[in-house]
Amino acid sequence: MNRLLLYRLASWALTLLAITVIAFLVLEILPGDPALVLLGPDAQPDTLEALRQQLGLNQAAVVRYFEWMSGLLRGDMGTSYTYSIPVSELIGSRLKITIPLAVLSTAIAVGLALVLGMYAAARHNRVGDYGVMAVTQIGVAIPSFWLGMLLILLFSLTLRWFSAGGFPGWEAGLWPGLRALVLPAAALAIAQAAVLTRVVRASVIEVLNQDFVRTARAKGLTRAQALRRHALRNALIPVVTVIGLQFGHLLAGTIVIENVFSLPGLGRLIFQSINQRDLMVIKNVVVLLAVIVITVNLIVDLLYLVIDPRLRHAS
Amino acid sequence: MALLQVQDISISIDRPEGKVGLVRDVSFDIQPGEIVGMLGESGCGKSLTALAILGLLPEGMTATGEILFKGANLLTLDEPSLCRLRGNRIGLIFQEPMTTLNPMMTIGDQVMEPLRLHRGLGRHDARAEALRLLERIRLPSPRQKFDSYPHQLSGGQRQRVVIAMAIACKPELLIADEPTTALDTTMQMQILDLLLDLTDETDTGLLLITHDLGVMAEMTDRILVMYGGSIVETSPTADLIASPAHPYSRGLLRAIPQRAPGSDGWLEPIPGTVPAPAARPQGCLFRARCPIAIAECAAHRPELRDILPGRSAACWVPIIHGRTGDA
Ligand SMILES: Nc1ncnc2c1ncn2[C@@H]1O[C@H](COP(=O)(O)OP(=O)(O)OP(=O)(O)O)[C@@H](O)[C@H]1O
Ligand code: SF4
Ligand SMILES: [Mg+2]
Repeated sequence: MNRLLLYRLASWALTLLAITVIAFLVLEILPGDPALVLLGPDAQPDTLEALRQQLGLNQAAVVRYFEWMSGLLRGDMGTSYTYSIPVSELIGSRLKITIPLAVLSTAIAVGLALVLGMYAAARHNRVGDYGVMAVTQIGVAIPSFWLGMLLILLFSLTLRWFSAGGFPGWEAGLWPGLRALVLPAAALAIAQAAVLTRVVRASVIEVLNQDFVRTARAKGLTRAQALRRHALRNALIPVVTVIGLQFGHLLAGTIVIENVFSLPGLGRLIFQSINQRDLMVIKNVVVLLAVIVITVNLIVDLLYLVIDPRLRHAS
Repeated sequence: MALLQVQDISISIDRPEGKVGLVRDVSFDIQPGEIVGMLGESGCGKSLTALAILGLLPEGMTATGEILFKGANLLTLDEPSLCRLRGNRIGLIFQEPMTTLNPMMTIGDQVMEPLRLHRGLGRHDARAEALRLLERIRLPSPRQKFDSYPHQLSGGQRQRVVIAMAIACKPELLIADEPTTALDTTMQMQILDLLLDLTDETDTGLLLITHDLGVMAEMTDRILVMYGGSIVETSPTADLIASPAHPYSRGLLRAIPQRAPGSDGWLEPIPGTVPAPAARPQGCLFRARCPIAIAECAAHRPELRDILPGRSAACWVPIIHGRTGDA
């Protein structure tokens, strides 16, 4: 098997392990007693003690870490303090919103970036290029929550094309579900698209200056044909890299955007559990988010092998 | 009629400080089946002249003058017509085989591209034709190489592939810009032999650009010597080797040990450097390095003019039959 691939898989597993340790330690250090939050400031000391006992908070940290790990391996993430249902169930239902939201947002960002980036590259140093660059400058600067509110104002309150927030549930059908995700996905996508457009543009411009593109033109391909058939695939490597790197930011962005649009997704869950010191939920969600991010980056590394034959043969 | 007639081509680049001339008033022609060599130091404008013929000058450069290909002026031709000529009736071989192939496309796909584009062949026919081409340019095990990527081939093999692409549609004119500089000597000879065979078979005109006087002497019918963006001498190859007319041509010959007439076999580089395009002086560009310059040389730039039948030079005191004399 390809050495690069083995190396990536090993580093994926090690990173995952490191993340569980860090997540656990950070929550250990953080102030805040879940028992106190659950029972309120007026609770009796012995009631508090009993709850701590019940939640297993009195055991040594090492013991709790290994219990958590062995639970995770069995697919058991414990029970939420506040919702009193299994964390895995809670997370599962929230993922059904956040994952489609992230995927939709990435799709919008990549689509926009490819079109605008290639256009700007083809018009390098001309008006069209400057125009696109100015727009991306604005796109990078706009905070997604503010853009989200603008979108709600325009498309929900004024035009009434979309609802202003909330989620009907996938039981209501594919289209109503997607419809509820379009505006938040767009709000998340704009900043990503702006950054990505710049990457696509720079990358395509660089490739267009390479000798093999001139060769393609000398064969009789038009400028557009040379761009499509020869430059694009070569320009894709840095683009894919940045998509992978941005995915983490995108997930962080869902925390804000799901609150703006009142979507019951993972981002909103983590926000609420932090408020309520629901450690059981927080640590599992943090690990899950980390797993998603490093898995996306693993997929990016695998994509390199698909895109670039030179890496495929370098085993 | 000449296959290619280049007339008073000048190429300039737009810089923030204004237009800078890179190539000035270059004229020459190539007959069908003729092999014309273009010689000159690095940066003298050889590649730009070649690119201008195909209308592929880099962004920001413009060419003026006339480039007649079988009578049609390529400089005024519209882009779609140029696309139909490039890679079809005019083939171009670039100097760097390491970077001229697309690293992410198979050899086969790249060789099939001009065939599909210009001859409208379907995938099946194009494949058969491309394999024939790869055999013809003597690429070892072509069937296996067909599905390989450029990085799996050696430098010489890649250059063969580049040649295969350039000759795929049997062009009437082939421009080879230093096709062998990146290769070792044995590979050089093989590639050049290949080019000779191919042009012989089809009566293709060849413009061969190279620094290498040895290659020139063996392959070409006529030589254009360029200096600082202009042609300073054009002569039949044998004449130029026997008695270079321009002091720069003579300097070039002297720089090659075995071939320099009257030299003791030691390499004798021409002292000094070429003036940069933006800093070209009035008068003859070679003056600062010329051993026989006269007062006239500083005042006026000599134009290319006939000095003997079939030979011309841009010099106030060309060396005719080994002797200088005011012409
Ligand atoms: N893309 C470019 N942008 C700016 N200047 C250029 C560019 N390409 C070439 N030049 C300039 O034009 C002049 C002629 O370049 P050209 O490439 O034609 O030289 P050459 O004779 O082919 O040299 P070499 O033997 O090194 O290939 C040089 O002074 C070079 O600096
Ligand atoms: S014109 Fe004068 S300076 Fe120029 S090459 Fe001839 S003799 Fe030398
Ligand atoms: Mg060159």
